[in-house]
Amino acid sequence: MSRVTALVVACVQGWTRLYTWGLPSDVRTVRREEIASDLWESTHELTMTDGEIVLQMVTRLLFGIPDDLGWRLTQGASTMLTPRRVVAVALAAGALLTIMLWPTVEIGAPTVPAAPLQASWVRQPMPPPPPPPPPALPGRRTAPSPPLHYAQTVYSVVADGPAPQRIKEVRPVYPPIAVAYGVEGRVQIDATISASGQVVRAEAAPGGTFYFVQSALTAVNDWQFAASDPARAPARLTVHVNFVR
Amino acid sequence: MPLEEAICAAAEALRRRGIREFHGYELAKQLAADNDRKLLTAYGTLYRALARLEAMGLLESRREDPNIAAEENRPGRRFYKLTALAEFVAVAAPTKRRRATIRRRRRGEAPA
Repeated sequence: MSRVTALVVACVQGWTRLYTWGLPSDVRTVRREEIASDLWESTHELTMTDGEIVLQMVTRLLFGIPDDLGWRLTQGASTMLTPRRVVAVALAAGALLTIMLWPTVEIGAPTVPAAPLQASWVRQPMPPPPPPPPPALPGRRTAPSPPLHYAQTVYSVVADGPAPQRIKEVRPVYPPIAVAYGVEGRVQIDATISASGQVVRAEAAPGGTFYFVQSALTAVNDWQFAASDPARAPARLTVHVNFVR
Repeated sequence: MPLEEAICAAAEALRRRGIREFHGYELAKQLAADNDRKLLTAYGTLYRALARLEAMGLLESRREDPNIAAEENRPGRRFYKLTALAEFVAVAAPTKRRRATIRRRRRGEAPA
């Protein structure tokens, strides 16, 4: 986590502590835990750059302040903050955040220095064409893609009866970016197999990380099993998918 | 209540993908995907709406088993799930709105 990201996380948590301060313990804990979990998910978002994550968190914080205050006011009793004080604190916090983060946030790729302005009607000399790429060696790739990693799967039958025989296994792909960051996870899937051997339903148990769940569901939905007696009820399986390195 | 309806629709979309229970960040991502935008719903807006929906009986929530969170070294999540009433709202509300729009167009009124 970069320094700026850590700072923004601290700001969001500080603001959450501020507007939940003085509330009953159960109400306060639920909101603080929800925000902490959301922040954790945001900072472990692998599809965004650090700058995008920071920008996302700052905008979510600032745009949410009116609703935070509205929610706080609806909690009503035992509040030690008057509405006027809450608004003043919110404005101060928002202004402070904006001032602190404005010059430090970098979004995406590093900025390229702008070319000097020139009149559009002045004909500029054409830049020389780039040299042609060297011819690729026959039968050999110039940039071989890294090998894919796969998750381990284990399945078991939920009800009594023989386990259907799997005749086609598609292994869940370990998302390359998760491999790169060393993120591991487990997903449990409940699947129903029809008499013809097709996966007719696959549902992930709650708690799995989004991209692991997607990868596991995609793979399990493509599994095929040997056809069984049509008179029998569809088989129900529990599939454990382990994304470990 | 457009946000509440959108949340029910997003939860329904997650359910169709096999995700019956979801946490706030997952829902925020689905909402952004449904509306084709990158910016997620603000913390305050999202969690206030979730609290409202829970109070209205459209959502129910539970705290994640703390052992799972501790094992994965992260804060515990709060999982939300649509109630039966909300599943009806998620399916019926857009249909009703479409019908109302069609009726207004037939009468020559501007859509709401």
